[in-house]
Amino acid sequence: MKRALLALALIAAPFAVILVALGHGPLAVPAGDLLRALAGGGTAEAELALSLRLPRIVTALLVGGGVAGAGAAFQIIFRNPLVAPDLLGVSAGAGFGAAAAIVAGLGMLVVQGAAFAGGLAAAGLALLCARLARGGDPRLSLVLCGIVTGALASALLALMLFIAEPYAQLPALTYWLLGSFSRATAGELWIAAAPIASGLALLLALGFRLDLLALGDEQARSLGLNAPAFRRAAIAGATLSTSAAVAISGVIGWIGLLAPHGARLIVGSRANLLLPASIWLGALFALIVDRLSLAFGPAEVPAGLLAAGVGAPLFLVLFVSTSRSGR
Amino acid sequence: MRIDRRQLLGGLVALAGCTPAPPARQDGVFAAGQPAALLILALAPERLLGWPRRPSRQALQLLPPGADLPELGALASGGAPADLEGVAALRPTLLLDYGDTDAAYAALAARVQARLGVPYRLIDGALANTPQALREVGAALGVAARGDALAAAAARILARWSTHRVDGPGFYYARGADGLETGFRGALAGEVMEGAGWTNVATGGHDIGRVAREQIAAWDPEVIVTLDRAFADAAANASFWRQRRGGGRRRLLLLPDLPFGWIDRPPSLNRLLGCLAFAGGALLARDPGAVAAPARAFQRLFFGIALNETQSATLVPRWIA
Repeated sequence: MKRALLALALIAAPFAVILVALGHGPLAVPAGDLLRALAGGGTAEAELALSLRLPRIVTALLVGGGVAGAGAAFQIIFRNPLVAPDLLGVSAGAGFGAAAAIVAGLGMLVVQGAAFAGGLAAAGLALLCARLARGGDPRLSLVLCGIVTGALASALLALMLFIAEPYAQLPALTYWLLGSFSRATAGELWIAAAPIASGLALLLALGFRLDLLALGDEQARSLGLNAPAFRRAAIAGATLSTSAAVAISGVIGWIGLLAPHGARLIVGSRANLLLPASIWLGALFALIVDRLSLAFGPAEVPAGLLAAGVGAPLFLVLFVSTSRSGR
Repeated sequence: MRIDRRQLLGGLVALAGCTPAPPARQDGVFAAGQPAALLILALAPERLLGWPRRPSRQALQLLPPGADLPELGALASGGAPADLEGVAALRPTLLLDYGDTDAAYAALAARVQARLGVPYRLIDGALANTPQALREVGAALGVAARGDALAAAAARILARWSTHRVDGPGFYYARGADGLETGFRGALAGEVMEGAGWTNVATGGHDIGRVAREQIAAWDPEVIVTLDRAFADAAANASFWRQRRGGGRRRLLLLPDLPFGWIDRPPSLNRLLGCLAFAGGALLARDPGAVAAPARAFQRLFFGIALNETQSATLVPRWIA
C-alpha cells in the first residue's frame, strides 16, 4: 500500500514540476496568458516565454529519461548495480568531441555534433576492443575495454583543456563539461530527440530479454536467445541515447546511476517495469535539477554540479535501502 | 581548424616533461601572465623571454616577427603553469605580473621571488591605472622615455573614453559559441563598454557566468556585443537573438579579436582599443570603419603592428546586418 502510494506520487510529480517550470521564469507572465498561449492564442510575451521554457523542459525530460534508461539497461545486462551509462566511455568520448570542436573555434551545432560522434566513437572502440579480446566473460571484457577507452578519451579531453585558450575557450569548455539544459533550442532539440527516443524505444522493445541476458550467455542461449546479438542491440540503444543526451546537455552524471536504484525500490528488478520506471524517475530528477539550477539568481548553477551534489547523497540512501531490501 | 600545430606540439612536449629551451636573452623578463606579456611587448619587446600562452597563428601573422617567441607557461593565470626550474634556467632579471594585485597574487609573487631569488613586480592592471603601469614598467625595463610616450597616449584615450560618456544602449556581452556565457555588470569583461556609458543589462551575478535564454529575453538588451565570430554567424539570423520583445530588431556588434580582443582576452593594453572605439559614442553615431585609422595608429604605436589598408579595414568593429 505504502509503495503504491509512493508510486502514485512519483507518477504525478513530473506533471507538478512541469507546471511549476512552465509557470515561473524571468519573464513575468500571468498564468492565464500562458494557458491561452498554450492553446494557441495569448500575448506575444506569453508566446515568447513558452517558446523558451518548453524546449528547456523537454530537454531536461529527454536527457534525464535517456541516461536513466541507459543506466538501467547497463545495470541489468552487466548484473552490476554500480554501473552507469558512461560505462563504455561515452561521456568522456562526448566530452572530448565537444572540447575539440570548442578549441577549434567551431559553432554550437558542430560542438553538439562532435560530442555525439565522440560518444559513439568511444563506445564503438570499447565494443571493438572487447570483440578482439575473445575468450573469457564477454561482459568483463566490455567493462575493461570501456575503462580503457574512457581513460583514453579522458586523457584527450585533458589535452584539450591544456591547449584551450584560457580567456575564452577554457571557460566555455568548463561550462560545457559542467552541464546545462539551457543550450537546446526547439530546432536543435528535435535533432537530439530522435536518437534518444530511438535508443529508449530499442531498450523498451528488448524488455524481458534483458532479464534473460542477465542470466548469462549459456542460460540465455538455452532459453532460445542469441545473447551476443541482443547484448549488442541493448548497448547500441543505451549508447545512442546517452551520446545524444550528453551532446545537448553536456556531462550530467548521477542520473543514470540514481534513477534505476530508485525505480528498483518501487517496481522491483524486472526489466519490463524497471526500464520505464527508471526513465520516468530520471526525467523527474533532471527536471528538478534544472529548476534548482535557475533558483539562485540570473547566473545558472551548472546542472552537472547540482546533479552530483543532490544525487550522490541520495544515491547513498537508496543504495543502502536497496541493499537491505535485497533488491 | 584553429589549432596551432606548433602550439600543440609544444603542449605535448611540455606534457612529456621536456620543455624546449627558448633562445637565451640578456636581461630577459619573464611574463607571469598574458597581460604582462603584452605590457612587455609594448614597452621592450626585445626583453620578452616568451609567451605564457603563445598567440594563435593568425595573431602572430599580424604581430612583428620579434613576437614569434616560444610558449613558456604562466606563473599567474592565463596559461598552463610554468615549471619554476624552467623559469630559473632562463635566467630572467625580472618576473612581471600585470593584473589583480590582491593578497593571493601578492603572496604568489613573494613566494616565487623567495624561491628563485629574482625580483617579482606586481603591477595593478586596472584600466584607469594603465598610464601609471606603462610609466612604472617602462622605468623598470630601462625604457622610461617609451614608457612615458605610451603612458601619454593611453592617458589621452582613457580621458576621452571616460569624459565623453554617452547615454549608451543596454547591451548584453555574449561569450562562447552559444552566447549564454556573459560578464555581469561590474565585471572586468564589460568595463570598456560600461565606462563609455553603455548599460550592461546582466545584473544579479558576479564576474563571468552562464545565464538562461529566458533571462536574456527578460533583460531585452538593445545590443548584443561579442568577440566570437562563430556565435555572431549563428546569431545573425536567429530570431531569439535579433528580435526584441517590443517588436524591434536587436543590433549585433562583432568586435575584432585579432591579434588580441578589443575589450578583453587578455585584460591588458589591448582594451585601450575598445576604449578608443567606444569613446564618445563613436560606434553608435558613425560607421565603425571610422575607427579604422586611429586603431591602426594604436596597433603600430603600442605593438609595432603594421596593418595594411585591407587588414585595417577588416579588423574593426562590425555591425552585423
